[in-house]
Amino acid sequence: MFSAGLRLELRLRLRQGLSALGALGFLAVALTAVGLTLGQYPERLRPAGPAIGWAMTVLALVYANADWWLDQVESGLNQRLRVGARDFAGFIFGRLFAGWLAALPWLLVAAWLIALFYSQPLPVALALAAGLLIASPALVGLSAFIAALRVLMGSVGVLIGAAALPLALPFVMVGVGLTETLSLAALGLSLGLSLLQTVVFAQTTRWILSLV
Amino acid sequence: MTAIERQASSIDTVTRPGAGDALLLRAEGLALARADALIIEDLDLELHKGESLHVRGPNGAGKSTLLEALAGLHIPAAGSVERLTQAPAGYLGHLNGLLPDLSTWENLQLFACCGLPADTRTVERLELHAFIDKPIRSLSQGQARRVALALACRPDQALWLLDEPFAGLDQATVDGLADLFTAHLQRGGGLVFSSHDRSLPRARLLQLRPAVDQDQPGKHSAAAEHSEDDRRV
Repeated sequence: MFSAGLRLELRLRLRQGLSALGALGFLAVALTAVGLTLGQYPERLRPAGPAIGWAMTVLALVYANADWWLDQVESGLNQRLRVGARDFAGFIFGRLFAGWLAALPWLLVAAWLIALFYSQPLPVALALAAGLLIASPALVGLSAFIAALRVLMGSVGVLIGAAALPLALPFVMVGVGLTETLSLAALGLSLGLSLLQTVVFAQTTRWILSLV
Repeated sequence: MTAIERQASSIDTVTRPGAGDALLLRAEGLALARADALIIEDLDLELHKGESLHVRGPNGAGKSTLLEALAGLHIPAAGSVERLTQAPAGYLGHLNGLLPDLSTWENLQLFACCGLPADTRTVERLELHAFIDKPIRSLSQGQARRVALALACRPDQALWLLDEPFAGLDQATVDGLADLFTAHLQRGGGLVFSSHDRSLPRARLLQLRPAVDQDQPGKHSAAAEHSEDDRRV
């Protein structure tokens, strides 16, 4: 069942590549808007760039995955799998894992975009990429959780899910910190927190989908 | 509900006496609510091997909700549902449960990977090969329903719970489906299905009536035979 979910998700992601481009477009527009607003003060924009980029990337990831479970629920597949499939949870976890795999190249492009838009040097771009990759399981889990709340409760679910966005703040802080000082302790802390949040979000998402 | 009403209701039990050893499904004192409104109350039913139960009623009477409850998808407001089968039930709701971006073949593959492979003979009988490579979103309503039925009607599942299985199908497919149901019942399987206008020979009837208001939840009645105007498949 895990492999069935994994293959399905990868297949759908490949066919729906435009939605990933849409999310990158959202990121580019958001970064440009910040740049235009602070255009008169480039000296202020440059140090704030990584933090702004991080926050925008989290939002873009949530946007990119907003419809994650919509097809599964609206088609009635979710109900059929709940009744008959031998391992419903495995199927959901497979889709989550594939969603994380699909997000990796996307996040690397996002890090490059941030560095490009805010004229960051190469080491900062690499630190941004490393921070995003370490946090990626939790960020993907968060976006999957918000998407699951959406299919359960509609727009109210998105609002409730948005309340969980501050859980991504530690990653933003550590990720931005990495662009200034490379700290193994910070890396380890971020990785541990990322894995912990991933488990919580994955289990919560599975539980929500077992209700709809 | 008064004591007299409850007693009358308990008589409306869809049960075939004397076949307790071959029981596939049992619901006792079932009460179902939708959006906080009670739509079915105090329903008892049993389904034995080789039996089919036709759930009938107007829109809003609770047919789909009842099938969802029997499948374990809807938590009853009261009462219990017991499925006495080894394998999970073959369930088809009013939605087909097919991913529109995938082809017929890819949907069949997906279900097979989830431990729910369609039976080859059923696939042939429902003639899915004619559109096996087409995406579901390009199929007609009837074609998509055929794919969904092929995935729901598996011989290794003793209990089939089908919501409007005949909807959108042409007469030839309806005939093929009726043969499929008959073979399933002869193998000792059980079938609960809802339909507005079609039934099966020897299917017992559960007639649901819509709720009028909050104080008068949907009453149900059971009949051992069809009414005269029933349209048989």
